[in-house]
Amino acid sequence: MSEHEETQEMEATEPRPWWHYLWIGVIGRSPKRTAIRIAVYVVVAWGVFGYVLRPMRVAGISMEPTYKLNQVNFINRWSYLKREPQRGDVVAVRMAGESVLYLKRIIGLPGERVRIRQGQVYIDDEPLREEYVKQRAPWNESEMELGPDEYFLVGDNRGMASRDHEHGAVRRSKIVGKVLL
Amino acid sequence: MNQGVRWLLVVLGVVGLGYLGWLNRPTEERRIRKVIEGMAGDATFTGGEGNISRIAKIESLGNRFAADAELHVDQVLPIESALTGRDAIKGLLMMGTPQIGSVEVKVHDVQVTLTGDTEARVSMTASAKTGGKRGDFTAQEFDIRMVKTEGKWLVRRVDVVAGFRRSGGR
Repeated sequence: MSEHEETQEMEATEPRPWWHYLWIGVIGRSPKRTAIRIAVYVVVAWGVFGYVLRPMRVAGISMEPTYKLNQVNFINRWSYLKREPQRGDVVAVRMAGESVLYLKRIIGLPGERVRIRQGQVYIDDEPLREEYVKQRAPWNESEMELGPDEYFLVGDNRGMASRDHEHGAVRRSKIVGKVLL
Repeated sequence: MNQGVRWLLVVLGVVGLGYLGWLNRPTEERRIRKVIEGMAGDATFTGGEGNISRIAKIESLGNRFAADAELHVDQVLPIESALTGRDAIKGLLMMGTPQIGSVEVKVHDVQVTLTGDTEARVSMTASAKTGGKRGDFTAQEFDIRMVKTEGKWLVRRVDVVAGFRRSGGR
């Protein structure tokens, strides 16, 4: 064995410094591969969170107790690509843009007649069973007929005053997507 | 690095800076956005201001309206007719301000459309968050018409856009 080979063997068996393991743990054995992996993650995250799942934080109390103040969630923008919104879906509704969204539950579908009497919702004169509603203030809303592309939306917190709780009919185009969780 | 590469980098740097400057040039849209953002700033109160400071902010907010400005809030408030005139709007703001503790007003999704040399339309959402542990959060969509008077963009008309169609039985 030559002197050069001996030196190499000794170096290989020497304990590595702590930062070597930190480097391997954070960067990996191949920095180039790690950089590519990070770039892929960034592009995927940008695509997923920019176009499919929109992160959101609940800012009001109209969906309590189902969704509480400051709770974080996601809106699935692709949820209605192949099917139409359904009764019971919790959806996000755009305002001037998508920075601030309403979070409401669909209770009325296109063409239906909706009215609220003493807090009870009636769809086409039939009382609607809503297990997600825990408190009911005596709201009264005269009957309204929904248009061919309109949905009736309301929050789950019916214990609050009707005037403080945004609800009513919105066009399909205003619905951004369904809440994921 | 040879002389040629150095010159190329200098030229690219100058072109890049010029492009950034062009991107950030003061356009009418930007001026209007600044007015709208300034209104949100004027309507924001920390709760620690004195009365004089509050009045100054309301005065500043009121001065962003044209003398013949109209405020149409019938979609959200039980006021049937529009509020007309800068002084009437200032009066309404003055009346409401003492009751407000701390409130943070922000504007979102501001879309500016120039409809003429001195006219523009703005669509936006404004949000207000009051202080406290469970501070109330409210948001409202607005349609605003602006007019340029003596080089200044002023609010000519504000319409509240209803988020939901209601039956009327509030």
